Amino acid sequence: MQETILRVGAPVPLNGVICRPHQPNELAPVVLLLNSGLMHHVGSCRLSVKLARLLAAQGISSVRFDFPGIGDSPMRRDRIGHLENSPQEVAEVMDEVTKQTGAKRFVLFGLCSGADAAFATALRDQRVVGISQIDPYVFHTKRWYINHYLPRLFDFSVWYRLFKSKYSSAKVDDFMAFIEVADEAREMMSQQDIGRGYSQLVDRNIAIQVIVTGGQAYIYNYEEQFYDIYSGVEWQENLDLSYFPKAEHIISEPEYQEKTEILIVNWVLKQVKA
Amino acid sequence: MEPLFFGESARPLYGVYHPPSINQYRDEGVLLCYPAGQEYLRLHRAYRQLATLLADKGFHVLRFDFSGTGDSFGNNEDMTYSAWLKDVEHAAEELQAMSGVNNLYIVGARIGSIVAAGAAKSIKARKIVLWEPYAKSEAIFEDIITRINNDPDDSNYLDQSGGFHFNGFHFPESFISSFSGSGIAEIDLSGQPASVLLISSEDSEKLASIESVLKTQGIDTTKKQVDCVSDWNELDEMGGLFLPQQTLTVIADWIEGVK
Repeated sequence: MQETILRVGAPVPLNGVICRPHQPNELAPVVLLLNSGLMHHVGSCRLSVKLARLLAAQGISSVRFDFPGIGDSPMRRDRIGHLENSPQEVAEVMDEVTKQTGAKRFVLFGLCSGADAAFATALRDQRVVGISQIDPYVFHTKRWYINHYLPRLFDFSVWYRLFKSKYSSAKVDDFMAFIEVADEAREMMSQQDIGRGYSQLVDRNIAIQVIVTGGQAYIYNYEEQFYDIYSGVEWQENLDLSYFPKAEHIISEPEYQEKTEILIVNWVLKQVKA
Repeated sequence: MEPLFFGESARPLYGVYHPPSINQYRDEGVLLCYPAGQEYLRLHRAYRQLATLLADKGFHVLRFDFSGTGDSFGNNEDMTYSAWLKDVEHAAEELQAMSGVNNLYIVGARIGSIVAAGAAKSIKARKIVLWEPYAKSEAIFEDIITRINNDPDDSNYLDQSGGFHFNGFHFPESFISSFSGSGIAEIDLSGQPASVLLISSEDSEKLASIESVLKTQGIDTTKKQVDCVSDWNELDEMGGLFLPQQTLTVIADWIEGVK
């Protein structure tokens, strides 16, 4: 495996690292590992670095890079918004990778807003053959409400907390004054538009991997919920869904880190042309 | 901002060089040493900001990832105190080769402050910034282990071989034991013609023992407390990054020599 710097675009480049195996599998797509919120290209708990090196061990090249203004890439002043700009920026990286390696097929991986960028890019760019998303857009369903509220109806402690919170004064969390959160980085799309988008991807035979974590419990609380949310999509064999209810959104648990790495690498291996 | 790999070809280190953004020539370069684990991720943006502040003042800056961290080679097993001291030496050589500067300064936060102090003599650092430093080596991991013991869960637990998992990262026993005897109050900087800034958001009493040791060694030491409500070990599930602007400004001004 060899890792080198990748600088894409001028005068304001996107900076990243291209990780190439010593013996690349020519039939494999190149994997682009996208930023999650403000987290730089190393990834949540170093996930992107670990994935890049595991993929390289399987003969698969990857690029981890930063969108403008994030991590080690300078800001571009003409940026309108994440969903508008990220597909163009990912396309720039794909152009450069094609120039350097000859690769024409790409898989996009992302967590949270990275999952959104992967989705938005796949809708616009025919070179994308697969997207791997951790905690993509999800929405409440009727069954979520039943799962969530029914047990609470009969739980005295819930009612007690509700009563207590109603009569206690709010506390200001001044810790947040020193924290920068990428709340603007997650731009929502409507459930209907997302469903339509997934249908388009399936029509193009794009492989879709979805991993939902327990970090989404406030909106997702059963394994098949993804199918219920996008019930209008005829997934065929294209969707590979996993649910880790005990994992945090940033997957800080070693057990789930390992499971996630294995799942993703194995799923990417399935995208190698027969 | 110019990312690069440097160091030995079998053990490449990743860094980002910030050249001066103004035309005022300074024969001065600054190395930024990150902390480890989740703290590294959360402080990454702040270090980029600090590097930009310093580059805007005319300094050459190199921030880099230690072995086994970030984009640098290796994994947790490659993290040791002695390897990280060597990494600082490689980074110093690289910064000097790129910029031609003769005067080197070094900044380290948390566990990075230990490494910065430990490497200061060998790289002949003339200004040393120790951000939330530890006086004794035992203190480095004490707080984390106490937290784990108080509330172990699937993310945070002690492993059977003497290491621990904390906030998404594994710290093996080899890493922990390698820091034995490396607290800043245990490091000998005597004879080093350097100035030291000790900076912390907490009661500066905590810095008193370090200050006293450094002063005994004849080191010109400044102690500053900058308000910043913080919990370095907070795990922000939404990936929020730690950006203590005032602390960064104080550090950059001190390096520049602003009183």
